[in-house]
Parts: sequence; structure tokens; C-alpha cells
Amino acid sequence: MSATGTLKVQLDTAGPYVRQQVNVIDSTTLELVASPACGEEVEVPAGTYVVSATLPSGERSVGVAEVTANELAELALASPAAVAEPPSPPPPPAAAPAPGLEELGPPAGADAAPATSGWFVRFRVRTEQGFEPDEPQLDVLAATSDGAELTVRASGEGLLFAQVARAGEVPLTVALPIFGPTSSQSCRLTLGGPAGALTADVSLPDNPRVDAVARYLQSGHPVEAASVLGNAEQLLQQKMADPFGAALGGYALLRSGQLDRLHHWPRNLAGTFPWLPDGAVIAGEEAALEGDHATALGFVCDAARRGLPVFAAGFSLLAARLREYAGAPADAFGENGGLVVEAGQHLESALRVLPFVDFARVSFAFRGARVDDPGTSQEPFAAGDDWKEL
Amino acid sequence: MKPWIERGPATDGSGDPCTHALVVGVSRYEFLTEDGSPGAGGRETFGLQQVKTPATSAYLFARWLESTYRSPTAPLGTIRLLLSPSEWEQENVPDLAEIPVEAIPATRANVEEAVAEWFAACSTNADNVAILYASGHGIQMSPDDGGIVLLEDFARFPSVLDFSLDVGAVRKGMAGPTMAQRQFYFVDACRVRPEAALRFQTLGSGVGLPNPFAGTARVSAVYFAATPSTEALGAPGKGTLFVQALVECLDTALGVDDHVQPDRTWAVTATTLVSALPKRVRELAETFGAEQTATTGGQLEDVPFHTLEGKPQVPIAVGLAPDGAAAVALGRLFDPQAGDLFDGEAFAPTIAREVPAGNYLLEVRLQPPTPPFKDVSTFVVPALPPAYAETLTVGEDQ
Repeated sequence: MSATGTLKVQLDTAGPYVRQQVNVIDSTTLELVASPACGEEVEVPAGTYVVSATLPSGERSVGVAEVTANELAELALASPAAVAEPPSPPPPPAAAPAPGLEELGPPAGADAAPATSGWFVRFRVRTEQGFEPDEPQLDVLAATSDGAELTVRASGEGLLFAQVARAGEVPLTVALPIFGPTSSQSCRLTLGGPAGALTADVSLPDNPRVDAVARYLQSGHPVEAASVLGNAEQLLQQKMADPFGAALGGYALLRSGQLDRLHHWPRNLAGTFPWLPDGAVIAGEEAALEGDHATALGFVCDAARRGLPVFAAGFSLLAARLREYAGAPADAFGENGGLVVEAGQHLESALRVLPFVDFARVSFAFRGARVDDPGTSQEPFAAGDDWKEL
Repeated sequence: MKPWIERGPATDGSGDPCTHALVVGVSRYEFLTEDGSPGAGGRETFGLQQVKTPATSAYLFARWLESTYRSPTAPLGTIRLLLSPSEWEQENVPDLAEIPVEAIPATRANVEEAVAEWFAACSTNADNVAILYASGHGIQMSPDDGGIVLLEDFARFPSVLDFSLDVGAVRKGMAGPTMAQRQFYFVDACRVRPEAALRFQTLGSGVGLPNPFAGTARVSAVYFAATPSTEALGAPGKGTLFVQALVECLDTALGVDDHVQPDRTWAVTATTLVSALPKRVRELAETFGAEQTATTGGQLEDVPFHTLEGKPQVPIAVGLAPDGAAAVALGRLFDPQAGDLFDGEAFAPTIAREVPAGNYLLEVRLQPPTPPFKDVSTFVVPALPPAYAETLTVGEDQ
């Protein structure tokens, strides 16, 4: 057996927010040897490797790594800005703009103009800098005064929150389980509810298996949810990983008490997708249920630092553990004892959101016009800003 | 109907897996006018008019399948070809002047028969591969439709959409224990909902398949030329931008995975097309000052769609920094085991070549020696698909 070394690849694309998967290719055979995430250490036979990463923009970054036996080789792939634009195949002969092309459909402008419905929507994306307005691809499937249905497609990176509203009611904010650089790129949002009880249901028609898991969880059947999903860990191993599906699977296993099926893969979920708070929530809860509260405290604080979870179950678990640990003696957590004070601070933040959360939904949803501060934005909806009527 | 192409396992009775393709292209519409004005008898035609590219595109793709498509595990078995070329295409596109006799008009009746036969062929072996390509006027009637392509006799009767191909309905029906588990759908059409369609609860139903209670195929990838509510574009004489991009992705390194497959071949896979195809469509549209956004859907898994016979030719571009070094630099690209690919090549100001996929060494010599620039003895050039580009520093701080 050939000697092995360790390879660790860094890609300075968007800081720690996006953890890009890379291909490690044997430079002699040109075979794919491993597909670790950036920052992850992977053991490979000593030798020379071509390492490539395809960025969400479609750009590619390539580097070469020499791995020596029993040593750690670190490779920093160039950031996209530093990578020269690859040559494109020769374009077709220059043509004047637009003329010469024909459209395979009704004439321009024939697309039916949607009628207004009284439903309003806007989007916020959470990046490292905080919440920013966003305009994901939106298909309005139906919109009447009784309800509306739309498909939302991730347009880039960052966790997406939809805000929905209608006259006279406090807007509802709902986290969407979609993220551009993963296989989870679209979801359906169904708006409805009687006056004064606006609801927003999230479903995943393009991902029926994970959608079924969500439905089972929503109806209180975690065992069935876990059984439908099968091996949730596999969702992390695919080339186009589905971290949201894996997270839902994790919650299903936690809620159905099948800890033996977790066997610490949530730590991979937490490590590979640092932008997803739910991975750290699940890893923390698993550790807590195993009695390792020092580790659990670390994950719980990590989760809280990442921001609001995507799923209501995550916020529930997070708030419960923060409450427990914030009031515990620091010396109960060994090396992590210093995090108790931090847990108290996160708890205060969580409590400001808690009264407005709708725990009846799978996706994390709460009332409030401001994503970052629902407590001070409980006024009825007022049109303006970047609200769009459906 | 008799397939245009029928060969290999499809004819030898072995029952071995093979690829079955159904290709449909409609440019000539019996009930549309040249200018989009209403048809005779007040038919609802959504303002559509005759077009000049879908049949060109379908035939281009069909010929690519016939001549180039390669799948070691499921070689090409059949191509069913339905073409309705426009008069313009028959007069101006050489390949369409005389189309094969097996290529029958893409009418409702013919397409219905072809879909049924294609379904039957695909369902003989789970290791088969199913390919459906459809190009023509397209519309979108509901959020869930997976692409509706209008057929030659569209608008024959008031239920105008009876004369369409409902790709989504076909796809849902392509299930069963012995059904091809690798399915690829290419919908090369617009996805706009015409305003006139809002007046109707239904306008008929296109050609589809019964939807059974059976699991979906392992891979059922759909590549759409356009996102919902957007147009697909075509360049008369050359075909749609989508098919041009598709064939480029299949014929060049653009769509090839960046490593060899376990069987030592290079392949365009279901997932490499997901990123390569929309990117190339966008680039082609930009050259016309237009926009087109292709998209994908369905059930994706990273399986090969097309396997190359040899290594892909990978474009490489290596430039030098700082400026000025290129004037005195010569490059040598070599494989230590196989020898030189080129030597003594000037940077002008970059060396741009296509080389077989591989991992090479680049040597840069300065002639004459020109301080502070310095020779570079071995710079690794990983020439892997889709392309490689790098700027090499030859100054003192290299």
C-alpha cells in the first residue's frame, strides 16, 4: 500500500460563508480521487494532484498540489478575480444586436400580465454583512384574493427569507430552504389563511422525497419522516449535496430518537455548510442527547452565531438549549465554560424573536417587517419600499 | 413508423441495452400565418407565426446523435425523427433540402405514434437510455408543465393544444421496472403563457403518456432552452441558440467533466451540462445583443450522457507578467513521458492553443536573456476541461 499524506485546499471566494467543494484529480491518471470541501483535510496517496473548483458563477479555479507522505499539504486556490478568464470557443460571426434572431413563442410582450391580488412579497438574503434586499427568480403560479402560490428559485448565495404581507396585517417572514450552490435551488411558497392569520407554507415539489419528510414532520410523524428519507447522510455525499434535506433528516432522527443513525454525521453537515445554522443545531443536540454538554455548548453557540435557522425545529431546539446552558455553571462545560456567557447573550437575542415564531410550520417563520428585529416591527403592513404586489 | 436510424442492439435481437432517441422539430405550422395575424376561421393562434429554425435544430441534433453520440453501455439503437421544415429552411438550409424519407411530419397523429413506439422501445431494458429532443413554438400553460411544444397541425381544432407535445406528461409516463433509467429531455422552445390563453380554463391536452404508480427513473434530466415566461431564440440557417450551444458542449471540451471517468473515458455528464449549457446559451445570445436563460429540471444524477472517443481538446491560454516579458519569451509545453507538444512558441502576448487533456509542464526561455526577467523551468499546466488559463510571472518576484 502506498504511503499517504494529507491535503487541505482553501479557496478564498466568499470567506467562510461558502464552503466550496473541490475536485482532487490524480495528475498522472487524471482520475477523480476525492471531492472534499474547502478547508477539509483529506488523506490521499503521496503524489501530485490537480485541484479544481467550479464556482457558483461558473468560473473555475485550478491549482496543483504536491502531497508528501505523512505530511499536510495545503493549497490555496486563486480567488476568481485572480483567475484569468478562460478562452471561450470562437463566437459566431458578429451580428447586429437582435436582428437575425427569431423567437419560438408568442410575440414579445404577449406574456400574460398577472392581475394584482392584494398579496405583497419581498425578499431578504442573509450574507456575512447582514440582511440585504434580494430579487430571486420568481414564478407566480396563482394569485387571487384568497391566496397565492409562487415558485422561488435561488439566484445566488446566501440564505433567503421571503416576506409576505397583505393589507392590515403584520408581515410574515419565512426562511426558504434554498441556496444557489447546492442542489436545493427552488421551492414553492403557498400563501393563504383567513384575515388576521396569514400563513406561508413552503414545499419542495422538485424534491419530493425531502418534501415528504417535511410533510411528515409537520404532521407530527417523525418516524415516518426518518423512514422516508432513508440515509440522510448520503445527501451530503452527492456531488450536488442537499444540506436542507440532510438537516430535515437530522431533525427527523432526533425527534424519533434514532440517535444511532446520526453517528455524528451532523458534524459534517455543520462543518461543510457553515452558512447553515441547522447543521450546528443538530450536531449540538446530538451531543447533548449523548450527554456531552461541553461539545453541545460549542455547537449551540456556533449555531447561534450563524443566525436564524431555516427550520422551526432548529429554532426550537436552539432556544431550549440556550436557555438551559445560559443558566448553568461554567465549570460544567470544561474548556467550553467560557461560552456560557455567550450563550446568555444569544438567548437574549432568541427571546426577542421567540414570541413571534410560528412553530406550526416546518420552515422557520415569524411575524415582523424587519428580519433582523421582529420585536420592533410589529406594525401592520404598509406598501412601499421594495414590496411587490403579486 | 420506421425509425430513421435503427442499428446495433435494436436490430440484432440481443436485448442488450441501447439508446433510443425521439427528435421532433417543427418550423412549418399548417394553421399559422407568416405575420402572426389570426388564422382562417378565427382560430386562436396566440399571434404565433411561421418560424425558420426548429426543424434545422432538430435535424442538427439528430445528425449529431447519428454520427457522434457515444455511450459504451447503451450504444445508439434508434432515432425516430419527425420534422416539419419551413419552406425557407428547405430552400436555404442545405441539409433540409432533402430530408430522409423516414423523417415524417411532426403532426399530432405522427408524434403520438412515435411517442408510443419510443416508449415501448425504451421500456425493454432498464439499462437503456432515453433521449427526447423537441423544438418548435412553445408555450407555458401551467406552473407544473414540463414544456409544451406546438406541433405542425397546432390549432387544427378549437382545442388547439390537442396538437402539441406535452413533454412533462411524456416524462411522467416514462416509468416502470424495465423502463430506461437514464432519461434526457431537451425542450428547445419558449415558455411564455400567451395572454389570450388566460381566457380559457383549458385549451386541450397535448401528446403525453399515462402516468403510472411507479417510481421515477433514476435520472430524468430536463434541459430547457428558456426559463418560465421567457423566450428561446433561433438564428435562421444555424438553428436555435440552444441547439448550437448543446452541440458545442457535446463536441468540445465545454461540457466535458474535468476528470476521467472510472472506465478511463472522458464524458459529458448530466451535471456538467447543467452548468455548461446555460452558460454557453447565454454567451451566444450576448453575441446577438440578446438575452436567453436556459435552465434545467427533473431528476439529476452525475451519469455520463456522451462519452468521447479520445481525449478532449482543451483550450489553454498562458500569458506572462510583467508586461514586456512576452516580447522575449519562448514557451515549450511537454509531457515528460510523451514528449513535446510544442517548443519555441512565442508569446504574442499569450500562447493560446488547444491541447489534448492532460497534465503538462511549461518551460519559458528568455531569448535573449533580459534581466530582470528569468527563465521558468517547470510550470505545471493542468489542461483539463473545459479550459485552462493562467498568467505566469517571470520577474524577480516570481
